[in-house]
This record gives sequence, structure tokens and C-alpha cells, in this order.
Amino acid sequence: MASTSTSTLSRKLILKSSDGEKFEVDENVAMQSQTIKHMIEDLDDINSPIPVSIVTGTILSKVIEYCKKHATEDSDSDEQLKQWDKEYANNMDLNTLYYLLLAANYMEIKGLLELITQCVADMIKGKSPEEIRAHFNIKNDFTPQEEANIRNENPWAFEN
Amino acid sequence: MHLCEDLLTEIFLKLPVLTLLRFRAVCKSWCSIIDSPAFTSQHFELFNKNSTKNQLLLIHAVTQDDGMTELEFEVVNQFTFDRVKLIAFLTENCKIHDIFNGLILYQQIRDPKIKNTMYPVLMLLNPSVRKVRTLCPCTLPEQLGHGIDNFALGFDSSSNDYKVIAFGGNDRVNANLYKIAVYSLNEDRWKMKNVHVVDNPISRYTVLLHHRHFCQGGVHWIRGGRDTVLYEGGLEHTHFSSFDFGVEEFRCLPLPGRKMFKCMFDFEKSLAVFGISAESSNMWIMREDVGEVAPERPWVRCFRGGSSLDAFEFFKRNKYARITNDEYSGVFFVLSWKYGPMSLMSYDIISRQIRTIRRVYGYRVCCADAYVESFETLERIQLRYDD
Repeated sequence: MASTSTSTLSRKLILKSSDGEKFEVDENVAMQSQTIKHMIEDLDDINSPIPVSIVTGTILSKVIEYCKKHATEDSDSDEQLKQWDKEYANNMDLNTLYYLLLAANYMEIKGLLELITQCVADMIKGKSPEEIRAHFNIKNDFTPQEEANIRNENPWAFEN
Repeated sequence: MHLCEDLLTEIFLKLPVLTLLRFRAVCKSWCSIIDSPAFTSQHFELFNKNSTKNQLLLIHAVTQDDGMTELEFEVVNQFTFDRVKLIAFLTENCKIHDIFNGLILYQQIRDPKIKNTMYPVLMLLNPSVRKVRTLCPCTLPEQLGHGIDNFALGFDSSSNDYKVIAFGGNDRVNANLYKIAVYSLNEDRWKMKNVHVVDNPISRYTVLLHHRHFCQGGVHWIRGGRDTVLYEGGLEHTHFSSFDFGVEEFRCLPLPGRKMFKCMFDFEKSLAVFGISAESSNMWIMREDVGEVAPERPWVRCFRGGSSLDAFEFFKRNKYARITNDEYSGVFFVLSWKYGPMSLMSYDIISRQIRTIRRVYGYRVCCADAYVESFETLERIQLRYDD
């Protein structure tokens, strides 16, 4: 009896990235993703790999790193966890952040989504429209007159 | 790099108003997300919950280098009083009536442009977007020679509208009917209204800027005047008044506690009362189910602790000050400027320690309030005002 309950607790799942890489993770680590949680509920065979279709192996390993840290609740204080989150996010370039953001959104991991959106917000805060367009590769679809009108509504906001 | 609208919205919700005003010029889709009314209200809730807490807006008169005096709007850290930023200036000749949701309701006095109108002209300023709107004049007739000097700003969620209530202060009105005026920002007009008052809830001595709290759809203030009883050590307030911006009516309800100094504050969106005597300190929260019908026992006590004569005297001495409560630490912050230079003091209800934090400059402080940023552009539908 005892062995059954232990095995339920530490059940392993296999996650498969879009490029075919496989990751074996504890169930409680994977369950932080609402998407995976729902997939498991519908799944008969727990041993077959669970496809995480839009996430590449590189990104998925980063997602799992985050989930592992946050799955073990009582080992760290809130303060330590916050510090870890900060270092985790600071080590990413914008490109990685972007794919991580898409992954967190797709996998529905609320904490990670919060962390990454905050990190992106901190990065772009105070930037000019030109810098933003270059940063995100956004095409300016305003006519010169339209853009001038928008700037003239709040000219002070565009000073330096 | 393409982000869907939902993800962009999540990021935008974490950005200050200044940055978002810039980002409106990035492209059409960014502009339309930022301009949507749903985003405005969501941003107000979320951004201020996360990013502006522990920030205080101080409005004080300062003398500039050229000798002119101005009202300076300064954002400071509420614990250290260090300046975070300067957000606006106003001419000194104005009276600030209310601050709510990041909007400032004020009246320009000695303005040559409005000298000839006999009715008060109010302005609504949003310093976050630097927009001012002049409200149409308030034509509420003066009652028994008393000026219309009570104005309060609030929000009616049922009509999604900011409203201003105006009434003359008079303790001696005995009539059951009382004339007030209610302004709607959506319609830009004042509506005269007769309200029934049971035991006149309106007292010109009571409605002070920092003794007014907006929560649960109404503005609330502690009643003075006739609603005080004498007890050893001072005057005690027994009731408080409310004006509900939805049904546009006054209410009067009893305050909890006996024989103590009381002040109101808001605690996690509920109305709360702090009461202190030389023997004990108490906190009550108003039940959430307060509707049009007042429950028999509206107050639930959520804290009871010790006190001291020093602590009691401290609050009594600062009864006109702005008193705020930090819900996590249980510390009360008292920003006082009534006597002598302004000082920020704190009282910890657990350790019962009184601390003076720092003095600030500026020769006259008009008000201090929690700092919040709002996107409200004040450009609502304008209807023609017919006199």
C-alpha cells in the first residue's frame, strides 16, 4: 500500500518538445503548467510522451528549470525565490525572453508569465517609438500626419 | 517578433502612463490596445496595485527661483520621504477640494477669467496625462447665506461615470429636504437634486479633504458638529455620513467604539475605522454586504490591542492630519502639518512606538494622498450645457 502512494507522488512524465527532444520530469513539476495538467487528465497512458508542440527543446529546458525551482515550495523563502527569479530572467536575451513568453502563455504557467512580462516591461520602459519599432521589428503603419497628430496630443511625453 | 494582443496587454499593464503615451505612436495596433476603455480601467487597478504602492503625492506651495509661488505636485516614498519625481505645477491661487483615483478636483480663486461668474467653476486635473478639464459652472443656489464649499469626487460603476457632489455646509438647517448638485463627467452637466435628510448629515465642519474616503461606491466622512459627545479627555464622534454615487443619496450610520479618538481609512477596499483611547486600540471593518439597507451591526472588530496615554494624545493632537494605515505592517502613518512644519510620523499598533520620520520643505502643504497613475483623459462625450 505504502509503495503505491509513494509512486503516485513521484510519478514521472515525459515532455516532448517541437523538435523532438524528450524531458523526464516529476509530475508536480509539470503540473504547474495548466495546459499539461489538462492534457494529463484526458490521457489514458501516462507513460507516452506529452507533446508540447510549439516549444523547442532549448526553451522547454528553461521552462522546466523554472518549474523545478517553483515546485519545491518550502525549501526557499519568498525573498530567496524572488532573487532566483530575478537572476533567472536577467540571464536571458530578448530573443529567448520572447520565446519563453510564448511558451509560458501556451503552457499556461502563471508565475512564469508574470515574471517574463514584467521583465520585458522593465526592458522597454521609457523607450522611444523608434527604439521600440527597431527592437520588436514593427512596421510603422501610421501616415506621417497620423503619427504627428498622436505625438501632438501629448508632446511632453516625447521629450528626451 | 510578433506578440498577440493578449500578451502585449499583459506587458502594457506593467508600464507607467508616460511610457504608454509614447507607445501609442509605435503602430496602429499598439495605439488601439492602449486607447481601449477596458485597458484604461484594468491598467488603473493593476499598475497601481503593483507599482505605485508606498508612494505619496504631496502638493505643497514652493517659491521658485524667479520669486513666483507655485503648487508643486511631488511624488515621494511614503517611508523615507525621498523624492521619486515631480509631476506637475499649478498656480498657487487654487483650492484643492478632493483627490480621487489620481484625479484632482480644484477651484481657481482670483482668476480674472472667471471673476464675473457668481457660481463656482471647478477644474479636474489628471497630472499623469497632464490634462485639465474645466467643469461647467455649478449653479446650486446658496442656502441661508452659506457658500457652496463642500465638493467631493467619486465614481459610479453602474454608469461608468465620474461624479462630483456639491453642497453647502450648514449645521442649522432643520428642513427635511436639502438641495444638492451632482455633476456627471460623461454628460458635463450639473443636476439639482432634493435629498431627504434624516437628522441632517451635512455639516460644514466635517468634510475635510483627508477625512473623506471613497470606497464601495460612496464617499464617507466622520461627522462632527452635533454628532459629538463629551467625555473625559475630549469630544467623541458618534456617527459618520456617506454619499452613494449610484443612488445619489446620503446615509448616516453609527461609528463603532465608545470613548475614543476615531479615524477612517480603507482596508483592502473596505471601509475601516481605527479607534484609540488611553487604554486600548481597535480596528473595525465594515461588512461587505452593506447595500441600501444598513445592517443592524455594520462593524466587525478585527483588531484589539493595548495603548498608552502618549499614543492617545498623539492621535488627538493630530486629528486634522492625514492618517493612513499600512495593512501589512499594521503601522499608521500620520502626515501632520497643522501645527508647525510638516512632519511625517508613524505609530505601530503592535509595538506602540511613535516615530517622527522626516521633515520636509515647502512653506504650505495643501494635501498629501496615496499616489496613483490614471489614464483617464477627461475627454468624455460633451453635451451642450443649457442653463
